[in-house]
Amino acid sequence: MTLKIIGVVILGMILGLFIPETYYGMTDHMLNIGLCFLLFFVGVDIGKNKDIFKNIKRSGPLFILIPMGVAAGSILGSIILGFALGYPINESGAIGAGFAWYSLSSIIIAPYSSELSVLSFLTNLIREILAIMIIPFVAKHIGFAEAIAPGGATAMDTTLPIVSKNTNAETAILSFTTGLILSMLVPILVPFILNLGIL
Amino acid sequence: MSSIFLYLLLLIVGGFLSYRGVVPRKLFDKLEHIQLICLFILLFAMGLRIGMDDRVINAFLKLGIHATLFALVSIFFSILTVWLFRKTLLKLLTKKEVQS
Repeated sequence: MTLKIIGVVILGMILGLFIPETYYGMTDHMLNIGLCFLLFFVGVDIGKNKDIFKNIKRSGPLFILIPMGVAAGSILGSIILGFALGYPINESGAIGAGFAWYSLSSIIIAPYSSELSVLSFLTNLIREILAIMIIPFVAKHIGFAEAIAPGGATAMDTTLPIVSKNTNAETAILSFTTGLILSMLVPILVPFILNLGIL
Repeated sequence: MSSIFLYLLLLIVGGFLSYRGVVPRKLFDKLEHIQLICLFILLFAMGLRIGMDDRVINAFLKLGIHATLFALVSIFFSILTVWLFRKTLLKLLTKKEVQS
């Protein structure tokens, strides 16, 4: 799947090299309309899970503490690094708010800046790959709850099997709810943080 | 800023309709497929924009190095804050629950 996603982006990039820049504005409409459809269907996908409230109840306070910690840590860490590398706070914060959901976060950023969109895509793609490698180590040496953190929004799908394999059933449920909350936060936090620079 | 509310609204409406069973079950089977088509169209559009922008193409190596650093630092800080929250806030919250 990841290879297909990268393939589609590369195909677009190669074609883009031969398309005049006058068509750049057209892609704005394409992105906005497509994103609205995608988010509606993401909502439908989340809502079809009828056990969602049961899972939340079982998780206790950690249900909210883990996603809060992941969100705060990712954004704060990106802002600190961004400061050192010379990025404005709103741009580096928005990159951190992608929470490893590389496809959606980069698409949301695309109308703002292509350069930042690429950075967001690569950052969150690398984060997902690193998360897969790091989770077993974190689960063994730091803690089960902390093992959910590297995956961010992917804790509910791509990295869930790895968390589940290296922790226990309770942590797997927490991983799912954390991924769910972070996935809902990405389309809200990324444009919100980006807009902080415009205000 | 209005786009945030639109995105949130679409997520909530989609989730509410689906949870309430208003969305036909047939659509659930095709959901993954529909999302994938939307995603691929969007990624293709994003790729087009990248290709059209000379500055991005020229800065690809620099962006790759920065992206690796951003990924490493955001992972490190997210683990650190979850650990801190678990050690401080969770203890506080569970203490309050026991007292009440």
